[in-house]
Amino acid sequence: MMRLHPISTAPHQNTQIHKQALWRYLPWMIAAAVVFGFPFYWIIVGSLSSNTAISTGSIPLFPLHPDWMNYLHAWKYTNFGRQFLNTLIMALSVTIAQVLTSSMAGFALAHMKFPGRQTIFIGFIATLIVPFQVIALPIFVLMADLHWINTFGALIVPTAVNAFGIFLYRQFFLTIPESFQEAAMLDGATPWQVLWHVYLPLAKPATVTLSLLTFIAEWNSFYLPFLFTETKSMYTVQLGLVAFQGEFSTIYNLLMAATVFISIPVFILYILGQRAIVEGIATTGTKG
Amino acid sequence: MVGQRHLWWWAMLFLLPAVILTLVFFYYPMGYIVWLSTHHWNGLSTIKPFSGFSEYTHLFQESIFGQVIRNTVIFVVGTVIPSIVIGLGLALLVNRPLPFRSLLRGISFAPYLVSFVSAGLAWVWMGSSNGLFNHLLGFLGLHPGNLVSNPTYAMPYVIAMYTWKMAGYNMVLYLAGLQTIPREIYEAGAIDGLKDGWTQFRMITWPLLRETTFFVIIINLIFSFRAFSAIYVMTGGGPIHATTTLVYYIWRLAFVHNSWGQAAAASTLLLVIVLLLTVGMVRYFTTDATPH
Repeated sequence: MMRLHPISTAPHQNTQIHKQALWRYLPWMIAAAVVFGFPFYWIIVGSLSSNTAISTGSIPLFPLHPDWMNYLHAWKYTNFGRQFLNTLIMALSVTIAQVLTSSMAGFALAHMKFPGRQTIFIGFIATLIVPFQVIALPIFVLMADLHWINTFGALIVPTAVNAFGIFLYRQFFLTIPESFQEAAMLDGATPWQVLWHVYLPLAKPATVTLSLLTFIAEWNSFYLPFLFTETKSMYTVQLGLVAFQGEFSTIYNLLMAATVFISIPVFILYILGQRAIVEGIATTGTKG
Repeated sequence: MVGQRHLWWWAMLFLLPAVILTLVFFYYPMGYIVWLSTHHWNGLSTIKPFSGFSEYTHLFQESIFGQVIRNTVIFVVGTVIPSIVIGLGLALLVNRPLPFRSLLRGISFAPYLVSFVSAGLAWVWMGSSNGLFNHLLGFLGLHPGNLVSNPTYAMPYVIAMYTWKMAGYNMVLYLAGLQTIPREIYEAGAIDGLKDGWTQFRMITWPLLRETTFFVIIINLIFSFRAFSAIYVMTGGGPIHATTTLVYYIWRLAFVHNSWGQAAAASTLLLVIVLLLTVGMVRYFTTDATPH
């Protein structure tokens, strides 16, 4: 059984910080902050610069005359409004589908007894190992045969199940006593009602974790929409960004502006659900 | 009490959506890809004649295939090791009671949140002839020019970007691992004379992070093998195939050259490599595992 510990703020070596120790680690902290953080600052500076400054490489370290119009131009260029909507529809649908399929399967695997239970569980987990690129070609053929290419069907249905979600819910449901189920069923509830009204509300942390991670992954996904969409009106934001590079490869200031507004939803979700996201990632590497 | 048989039907019903989707979108494609690898197909024709192992033979005879395998090994080794080492270093650093450490955690993790497309395009810009990195290298007297169009620098540059993006992810995994080590072990170790940081790390922390390291390696291997979008947007596999890895090559075979049989053979090869590596890792980490 797995119990997740939040990334606690209590250190192991709970000694007081000696000034000496601080001076020893400060250079490393500054170096790390610069290496990991500076590109973000530079992207924002680039998004506010003129294209002449970018192509001549004469961008000032601090943008004294920021050109906010870059954002408006970037937004208009490749129909980002439509692409934001497409991405939102795709990401929300996949998230809802994964929560449903994962919670149902996770509940069955945690609290119901049937032959082959272990085999089915392993069968799900095995899917996590194989890169999507290996199985993408047959799925592409299948989508083409179904005439689903360039539709939301192709963007949503192939990713409607996620073994990580099943794993997450199974582990979480195992921590909820089986007596809850028995008591509810003595009152005449069906297993569906038990799941929906008793177990899922208790598994809110698992739902939040899975939802946030899935939404962010879908928002950032590239390969699947890249293969399964054809027209700009079906593009997702990541494809919109690439189309940008092809057509306006030298206009880096608008490209950087687009990069900024495409990343905003993900950063907002991260700030809102920091703990769930970090715990979810920690779960990926925690033995169940 | 509801009968067991009744419950059995419910269990099947609950599993049905997940099982059907997994069969249709995972196990069927796995079987199909292996089947297709022994058939010749251009992606369009209705007939797919049996071709034995000739698709594999053709694949191995391709002039750039050796380079593709070499690129893949360089990319995977070159990204997995540094991003794990840097991730572990970051985790050890921000696990200490230092001021601003949660800010540093956030900053180091931020690259993981942006998409590979965004990060890749931003790095293309920073690596361009008049870009940031050329300015910085200029202070050292180096003028490599556009990094992504230089056959020598393209692969190291893509690897650098990938490492920048993944180190924070590994930091989170290692932080979770560090949290599971009880403080008492360090206190007991201190009594036995394990006091300085490096000895503590070598004798206590690293051995106890074994399970974490095992998962970190597997997850990073899988991630690195599937890396496509960064390469697609940064270099397009070039210059002169310098950054064409196996997944990129598979995409090109299928969607640019319409050699679906060969693409299937390459996919099967990738599948075998990933499975062998995973099984190998599991065996290595479970046979002589220290008991917990």
